[in-house]
Amino acid sequence: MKVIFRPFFLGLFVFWVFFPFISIIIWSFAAGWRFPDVLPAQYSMRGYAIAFDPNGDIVRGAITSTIIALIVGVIATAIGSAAGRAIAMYNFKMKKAFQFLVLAPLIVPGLAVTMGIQILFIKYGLSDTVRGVVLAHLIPTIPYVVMIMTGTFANFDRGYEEQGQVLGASRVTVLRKITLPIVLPGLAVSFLFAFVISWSEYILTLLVGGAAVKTLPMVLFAFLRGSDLTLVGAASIVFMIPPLILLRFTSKHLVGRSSSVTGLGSV
Amino acid sequence: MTNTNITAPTPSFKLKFGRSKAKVRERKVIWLILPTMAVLVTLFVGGFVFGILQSLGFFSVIADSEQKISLDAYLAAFQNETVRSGIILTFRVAILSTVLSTIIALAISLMISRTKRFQSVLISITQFNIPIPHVVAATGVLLTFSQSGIVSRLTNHVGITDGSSDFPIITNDPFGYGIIMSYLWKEVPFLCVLILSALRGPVTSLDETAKTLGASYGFRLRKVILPYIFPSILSGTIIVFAFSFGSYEVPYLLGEPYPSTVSVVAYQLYTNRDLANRPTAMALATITSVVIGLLVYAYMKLTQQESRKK
Repeated sequence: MKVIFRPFFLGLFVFWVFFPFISIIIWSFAAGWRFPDVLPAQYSMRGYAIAFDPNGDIVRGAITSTIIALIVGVIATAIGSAAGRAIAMYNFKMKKAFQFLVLAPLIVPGLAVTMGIQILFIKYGLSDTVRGVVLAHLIPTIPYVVMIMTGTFANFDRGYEEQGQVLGASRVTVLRKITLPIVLPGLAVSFLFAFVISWSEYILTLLVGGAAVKTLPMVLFAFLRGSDLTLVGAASIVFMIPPLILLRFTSKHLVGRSSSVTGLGSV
Repeated sequence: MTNTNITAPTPSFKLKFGRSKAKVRERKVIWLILPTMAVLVTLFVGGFVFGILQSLGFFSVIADSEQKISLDAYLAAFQNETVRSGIILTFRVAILSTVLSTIIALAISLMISRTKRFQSVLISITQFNIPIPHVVAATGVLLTFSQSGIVSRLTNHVGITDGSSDFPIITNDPFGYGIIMSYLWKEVPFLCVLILSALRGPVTSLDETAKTLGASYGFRLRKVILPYIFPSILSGTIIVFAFSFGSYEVPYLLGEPYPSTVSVVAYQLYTNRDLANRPTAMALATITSVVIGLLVYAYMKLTQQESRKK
């Protein structure tokens, strides 16, 4: 009894993780799939033909999303890691208040805050622009970067930097040749989180970007309001691929002895 | 939060460099935190404050001379029937999602940590849906569990249900099953990654020692493993609760046509053609933020007392 207990539940877990994809994948290849049929009567590549049409909504949405998520990922990772280093390695006045400020966006819904700031965005011409959307996406992404990098810098030995300095390396060389290589796993995971949060964001983009900035989630939402589930399936698949590719390159840093996620476990 | 003060100057260090070095450090730290502070103070604190001001009637978008400052928007929010049913749904969804995902994630993580075969494969699988957008999770739940979804087709084929209308409504339902399922699907793996990374830490050697000394698994679980991974679970539950309480995408897709969670109601009020609803939307947003903040604060106080008792 006890022997089959664990494999049974772990098997169930694996099934649960992959189960929702089954219908998404089948729908993306279906040429109509009437109700009582367990499998579609016919298959087609129509969904993907539309999805990969260079002038179609999906490709254009994907390009806009990629640009925004890359910019957000780079900015959030850059400024958030500096803050993470400050929290992990230095004591300063108002440190507790700063930590509170950094963690608060994890608790307070981004929608509430963005609704409040929108009149300022309109006033300063940031509404309906990519710049405005990037700024809005920084709110939910920075806290994750700061937490991950605080965890990373907590295990960082300043001695390496000091040795470099003693041996005559300039500050830029120390940063490039010593600090960055050591914290690279943390930076990679931070970028993954920032990119994925920005890539998936719908409501903040809608509030700030309106109809002018059409990212992939907005396209997918438009399809979901329609009735063409083949398109929904194909768009969902396209939507999932970039985050999964990023995960492929960072997964080894997510779990491990010096995992970069440990920072997330220290709110 | 880690408070490791690696740079605490030793006495001899202080003698050599005196106060100037410390001042240099202080100035350097400013540059490290300034960008993050600038962004969050302007956008986050600014948005929060401007939201409160708008809920009180400042910056009214309706051009009229008799603009008055009042708490009317808060009264309107509480008198709104959609808001009331939304509040109940929101609490139900957030609490059930958090409690269930924590229990399942803890059980799965402990089982994975005890498994020898396929352990790395299982760990990859827990990571697999971390980067999948919530919209896709909701879409998957919709296409799988709706009345014309794949489960309904299977039960119909086998003969358990008779036609699509015979299948129970578990997406776009009044209880919020579909929303909870989507959150569980996303948050269980997220918590697993947190817990598994804590389980890989120094606790492994402590556990080995306890095992060598003859402690049973149940004893080690209670006295060694759980106390050690407790902080990670705590942070994880806070993130999951706050997220499932205030998120928009999933309840929007899986909630209609029934009254949805407060964030969906707030957005609907905000974008309503009648601009008089805007302060109400702001009031609702403010209330939501304050309620989440207070609940998280109470939870942290409570768990701090608990861990002190231990």
